[in-house]
Amino acid sequence: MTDLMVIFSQRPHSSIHAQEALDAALAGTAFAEVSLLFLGDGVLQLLYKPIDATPQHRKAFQRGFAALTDYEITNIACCADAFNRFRLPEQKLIIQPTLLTPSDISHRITHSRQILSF
Amino acid sequence: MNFALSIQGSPYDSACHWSALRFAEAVLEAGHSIHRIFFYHDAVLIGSNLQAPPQDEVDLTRSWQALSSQHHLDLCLCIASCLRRGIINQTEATRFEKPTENLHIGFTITGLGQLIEAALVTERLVTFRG
Repeated sequence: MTDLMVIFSQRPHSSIHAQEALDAALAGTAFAEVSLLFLGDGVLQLLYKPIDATPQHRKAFQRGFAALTDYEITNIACCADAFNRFRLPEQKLIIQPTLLTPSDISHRITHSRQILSF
Repeated sequence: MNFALSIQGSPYDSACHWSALRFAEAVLEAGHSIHRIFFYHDAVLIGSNLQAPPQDEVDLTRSWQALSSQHHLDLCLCIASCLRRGIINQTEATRFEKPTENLHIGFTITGLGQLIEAALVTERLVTFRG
């Protein structure tokens, strides 16, 4: 099956891009084997937030991350540098990503059939 | 080579539609093909038939429509982006009980799957952001 990588690089509620990246990833499973890559500020999307901590003008779309396994999306990776820069506590992550070095990231991007970046 | 275009910026706030239009013309002139042009985020505003830009400015909606007619291009608008921004066809106007539809002829409202399918079946997906 063709592979499709979806890149998340925006903070969770700064724009609609984070929400639409998740939509694209879920929709993409109808066409391809989907992998997720969190880069830069996008790693903040991995952090669990209680619903009442979600800005009121934004949908709590991150609950959708819980459905990733139902859509058979298991290849989830994250930039190790960004992950460490934000000191994300592992016990508060919505999903556990594989941490990648810049050269790992470069390799994955180079070998992906198609990439959608949000 | 077979291309797909993803256009995401607002039609008149950024240069991305103009850039994409010129790129599409150049691609076709060079003998390549375009599988689909997908308008996403604010770019879907291009599909409104209520726009009336000043007469001495480029009418981007008509420009896309003309290129599409000439080369039989598929001009797709993301349905989620459209509904948020008030671009609706007759089906959606009926479904959401809106007083009118405003989709310009030549454009089609479709799902995000059309972008993903286009990305996977073409050799290049080129994205234009605002």
